[in-house]
Amino acid sequence: MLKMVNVEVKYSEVILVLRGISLELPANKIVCLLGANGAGKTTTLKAISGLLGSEDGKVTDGFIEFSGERIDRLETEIITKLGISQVLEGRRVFEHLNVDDNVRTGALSRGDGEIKVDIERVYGYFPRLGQLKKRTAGYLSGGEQQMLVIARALMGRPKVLLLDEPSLGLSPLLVQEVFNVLGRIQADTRMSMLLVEQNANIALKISEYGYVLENGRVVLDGPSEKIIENQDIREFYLGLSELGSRKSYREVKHYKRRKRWL
Amino acid sequence: MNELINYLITGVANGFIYSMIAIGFILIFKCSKIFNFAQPEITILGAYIIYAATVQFKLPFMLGIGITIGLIAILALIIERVLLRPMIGQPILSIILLTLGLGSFVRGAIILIWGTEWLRFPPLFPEGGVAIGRIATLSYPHVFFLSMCSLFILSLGAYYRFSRGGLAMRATADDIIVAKVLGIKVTRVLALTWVIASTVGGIGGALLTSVTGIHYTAVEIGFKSMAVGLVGGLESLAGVIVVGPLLGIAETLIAGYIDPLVGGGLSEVAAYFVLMVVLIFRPHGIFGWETIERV
Amino acid sequence: MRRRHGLFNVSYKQELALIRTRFEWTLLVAFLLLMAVLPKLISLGWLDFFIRAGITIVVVTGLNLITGYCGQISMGHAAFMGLGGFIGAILMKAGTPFLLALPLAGLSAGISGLIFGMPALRVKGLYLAFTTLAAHYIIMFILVRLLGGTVGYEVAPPTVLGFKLNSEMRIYYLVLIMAFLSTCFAKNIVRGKAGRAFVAVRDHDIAANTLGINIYYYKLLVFFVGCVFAGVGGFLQVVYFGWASADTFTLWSAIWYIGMIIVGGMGTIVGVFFGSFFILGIDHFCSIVSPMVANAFPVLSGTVLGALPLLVFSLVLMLFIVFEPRGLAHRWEIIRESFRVFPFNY
Repeated sequence: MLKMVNVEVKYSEVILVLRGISLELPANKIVCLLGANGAGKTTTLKAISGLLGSEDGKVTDGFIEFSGERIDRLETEIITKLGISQVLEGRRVFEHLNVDDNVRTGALSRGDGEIKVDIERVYGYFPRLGQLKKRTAGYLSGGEQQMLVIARALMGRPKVLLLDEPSLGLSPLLVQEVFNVLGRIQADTRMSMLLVEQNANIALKISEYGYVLENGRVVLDGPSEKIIENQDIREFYLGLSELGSRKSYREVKHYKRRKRWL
Repeated sequence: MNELINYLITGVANGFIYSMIAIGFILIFKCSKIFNFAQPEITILGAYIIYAATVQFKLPFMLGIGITIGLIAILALIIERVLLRPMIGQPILSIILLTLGLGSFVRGAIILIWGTEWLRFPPLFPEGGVAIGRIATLSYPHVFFLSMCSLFILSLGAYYRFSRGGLAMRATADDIIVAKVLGIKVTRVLALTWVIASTVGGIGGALLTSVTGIHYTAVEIGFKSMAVGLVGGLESLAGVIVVGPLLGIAETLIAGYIDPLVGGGLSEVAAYFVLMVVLIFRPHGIFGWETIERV
Repeated sequence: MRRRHGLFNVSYKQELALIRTRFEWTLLVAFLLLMAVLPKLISLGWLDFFIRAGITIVVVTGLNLITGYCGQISMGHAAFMGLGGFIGAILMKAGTPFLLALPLAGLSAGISGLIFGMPALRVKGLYLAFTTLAAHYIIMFILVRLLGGTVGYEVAPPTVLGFKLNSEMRIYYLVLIMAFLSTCFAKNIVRGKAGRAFVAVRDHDIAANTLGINIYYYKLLVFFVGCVFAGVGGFLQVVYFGWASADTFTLWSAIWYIGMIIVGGMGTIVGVFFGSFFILGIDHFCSIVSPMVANAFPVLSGTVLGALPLLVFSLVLMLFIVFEPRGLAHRWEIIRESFRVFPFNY
């Protein structure tokens, strides 16, 4: 459904961030994109949704296709209309509007059709938001804000949801709750989700396929179950040493295991 | 006593016009974070266009207003598209200077076309006015000012608060990138704010100068409206409505009572004095939002 | 600044030096010599241009410090200039010798800069632009109402060190010396601790504060110093014109000055030169061209002279901001760099 082929992205024409990555997001699936800070995950999402322009970035090679059409040269508003919705990093709510207004902004790109129905549905997924309708969004807690931005994105009835680090800054219990809801949503609406995460554990648990990004290249991809088993991933992303137990930092000797893909 | 009430009424009427112009100007700022220093010039451009329409081409007044709105709207769209869209996200000094440059350009064009003398409108309103009890009369121009401005302020407020278009504006004002991602046509919102702001400025300028006569130094009106906007707080539409009449009253009172003592001219600077004092105590204006800066 | 390939700075003194190679020394000396003999080579009209350019350089150097290096937007610069000019004129009328009136004019402008720069401690960005605008109006009000501004003061040609400044040429030399001194002074400020503090305040004042830089002190300091320059420039102007009047210090002059530092390159000393000469050149060009334009379009007639410089200037300003916001100095650096590495591209 969504395909990136050999995509190269440069900022200010001199900073090469993505060095020819290819990934595929099939319909009805959750795919996760893992990687450390600075690997290029957010840039990948921005390339898909067309936000590179505002940061002086450009797709300089390769192409991005959605349902057979090229989208890498399109404006953000058009890409959203086509059905790709991005939940930006960092819980960017409209701080000065209240919760209800925030949710409604998600539907501004649509005609008037079934907005009421969708609002009900969205409050069904996030009952806590339903209790906070008139609260100013800037004063919500982190978890509530994260739920709000997801709810807002859902209002556009997207076919593809791009999630940028939804677990950022949330407590472990709340992370579990958010991801549970995400799973439910995906099961109900059958939309595709591309999940960018640093929390490799939970990302691999919820997704069916995964890509690992390092320094702008995809270094590993495969079904999530296989990735969880992969020794390199266990060592470097899940903190589990070769013996399958917790890592003892006293015994950390980096050279003991080298990444096999380098 | 009569005098006092007259001063108050004139002050409120004038002040409402300042508020009206300031609202347009704040709207642009809220949505695009651009401080439009060209607003004063566009304000008097409106006055000049109406003058041209009514005096030079001898068209009826209402038609003149329509033409003014139309021309200024087109101008606003051109400005927004050509000059301002590339500037989104640039440092603020560049934006200020760009709009200053734009203002100078409009000023130059005005001087080129209409020269530097004072121009007068034929009287637009009949003499006399509406009597309020036995205390004072509200002259017709002032009736027009007050009603027009109130109408505009109320309708804009309602639009902003309750309509989908207004919601799009508020979202854009809050976080423009997120608005883009949600599919809101940000460029259309910005263009609309520019058109509203410019036409309102133009009409306001035309209204005020219909009483005083037009001269290119009437840019004062625009600068005072900007002062009103700043004192009220650039993020607050409501603040402007309060501050405008207050400033108008201050001006007329000073002009009436204090100026004769000082030899005139103090009323002009009153606005700026108030501005400086207020900003020292409340750097973001009386009702403005404090920007939270993170290091 | 880089030296030619293969040459390195071998001592700290060399690193700090402004003029590093013999070639640069010769350039500087040649330039100064050219400036010194200039009056003999050109006509009176051009001499007027260079005098005004020199005065502008003094004033704009001050503005460059305030806005370019320290990031404090100041729209009141013309007013400070006027204040210096007026105080100087009043002092000289009261009999103060020139060499005393000059620093006093600068000082008074500097002190007013301190006072009206105080809002900079509380407000930033466009709010500051507006308070400085307000400062302009208030100072102008003071000049006009309290110091007899519109009628003005006549300024008799003063005597400096035995020379009576009654010819253009003599005033030219005075202005030349002042422009040279002010540039040297500004360059030294910029290279030193204060200059670095200014830039830190410009880039992020809260962060600078956390590093221990007293931003209140430096903001006030830059206003003081910048306005001293303005006051001196204003005094030179009233001496040259022979008349101190409020009409010569308008808000539009202030905007032109800001335009000069943008076009020239904010935050660079050489940008001041570029900007001043470029913008004044445009003004001169317009005054030459206006009669021709007026002949071609008789319907516009008398207003062309007033309007054309405004139109061209604002157009140039806008084009520069959109396409070359770092000004001519930046362009010049790119050109210089490409010459240095010629025939390669980078």
